[in-house]
Amino acid sequence: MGLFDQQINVVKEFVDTASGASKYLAGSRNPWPYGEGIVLSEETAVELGRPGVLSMWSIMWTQKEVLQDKVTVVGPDIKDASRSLPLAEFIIVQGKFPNHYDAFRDLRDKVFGVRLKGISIRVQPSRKSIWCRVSNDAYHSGFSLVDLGFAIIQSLKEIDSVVGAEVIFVTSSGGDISLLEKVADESRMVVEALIKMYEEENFDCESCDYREVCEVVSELRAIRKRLLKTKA
Amino acid sequence: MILAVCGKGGVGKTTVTALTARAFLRSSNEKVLFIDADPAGGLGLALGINPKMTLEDVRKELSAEIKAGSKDKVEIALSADYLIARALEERENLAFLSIGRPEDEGCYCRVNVLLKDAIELLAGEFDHVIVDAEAGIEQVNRRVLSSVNSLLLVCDLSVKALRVAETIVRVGNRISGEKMNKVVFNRVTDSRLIPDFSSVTSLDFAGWIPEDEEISRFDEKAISFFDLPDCNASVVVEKIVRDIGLFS
Repeated sequence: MGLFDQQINVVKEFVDTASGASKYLAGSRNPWPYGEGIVLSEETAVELGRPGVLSMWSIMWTQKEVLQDKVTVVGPDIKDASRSLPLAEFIIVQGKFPNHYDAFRDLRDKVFGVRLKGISIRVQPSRKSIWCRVSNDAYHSGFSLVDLGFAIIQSLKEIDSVVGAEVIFVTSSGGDISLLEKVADESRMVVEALIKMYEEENFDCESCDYREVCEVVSELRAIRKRLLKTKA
Repeated sequence: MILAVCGKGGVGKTTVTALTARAFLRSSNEKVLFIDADPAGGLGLALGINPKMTLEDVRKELSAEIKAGSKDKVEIALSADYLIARALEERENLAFLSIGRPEDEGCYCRVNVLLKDAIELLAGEFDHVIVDAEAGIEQVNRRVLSSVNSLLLVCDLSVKALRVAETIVRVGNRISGEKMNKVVFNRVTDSRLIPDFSSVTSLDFAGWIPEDEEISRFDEKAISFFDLPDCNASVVVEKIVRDIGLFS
């Protein structure tokens, strides 16, 4: 069993049953140009997940699911958006990951290394929050969440072991995003348990806050066993 | 440019910084971040900005995250980036960040470390960063302003103010390399009192700002300098800002 098998299935089911889901395969759009620089409020056309508005973000990886490079948008895209929208971003990556901790760090760095012209993105991982601003210039140039999704996928595929990836954006409503809150929480707990094992080298299950997570996710127990052997 | 407005206490650093902000709002499209690095505050008041969140609040929230178990450095850096962005107050092409007021002495060090990181983090996202520094040399001495590449030293006509300016430049150059430094004399009532600059200091002279009743009135009544009509002092500051290369 992989680290996120259950959570990936829930997200896929949500996408398959959601009304208003638009799916895009790689190659459907030209890459959006690179760019640095903050987007201030005055020049913002659309703001997604701003503080006070529901947002969530999660990255999960799998070695067994076969993924096409695909971006799905559930809800309005930028051109149809009002000034402020909620935002959920789920990234699912397929590849060979012999070390899950290294995978987590490499994948995360690739996702947050993406810099697009006229777009500001910030995350608070501990709260799973994501906040995105689309500038007026980007809006009028036709920027789409699909552009962001493919930029993320392209960045991830710079890692040799990554075979495919899917990025799912949900902007339809806070209610829809709330349906995925449990998934985001669970995947975050798995990541935190992973960080704890590797960073703290603490394998005392009795005192661990993530004991319940490990009881469900057998791969975490397997990782613990391997790390204990290495330590011994 | 990453510019720090420095000088002895009471020379009018905050007023000069606020007038600089006014100049940018009226005459430039460049994105500029103004940082109130003085825990005593003042820049927010001068600009009519009451920040909902300060760097001290950011520091507390990051500390809480770390205490709750978050140890991954990259995640903490991402959180810092998010929270600092959240703490920005924005006015058109300007953004404003306040250091806030730490509760105890130990916190001053910690928030100053975060200030240093915030300047480095945000500098690449703005055309300019302008820091209204704490009075004296402490923040320069403690490397809080190590990524600053230019100093605007505000002096009154006292010898002491000029000597403090010289010390700031000397310490700043020693700690983080040579910087552009420019001195402005503030609140000048009689231009004949301005010394022959090159004979009293090796620093570069940028200009002098006259005492201005309108500035005093706005200051006393805490009216935002963004609402200040053109006056002698504001015109001079805008010229100085252009001359030192801040307006491109």
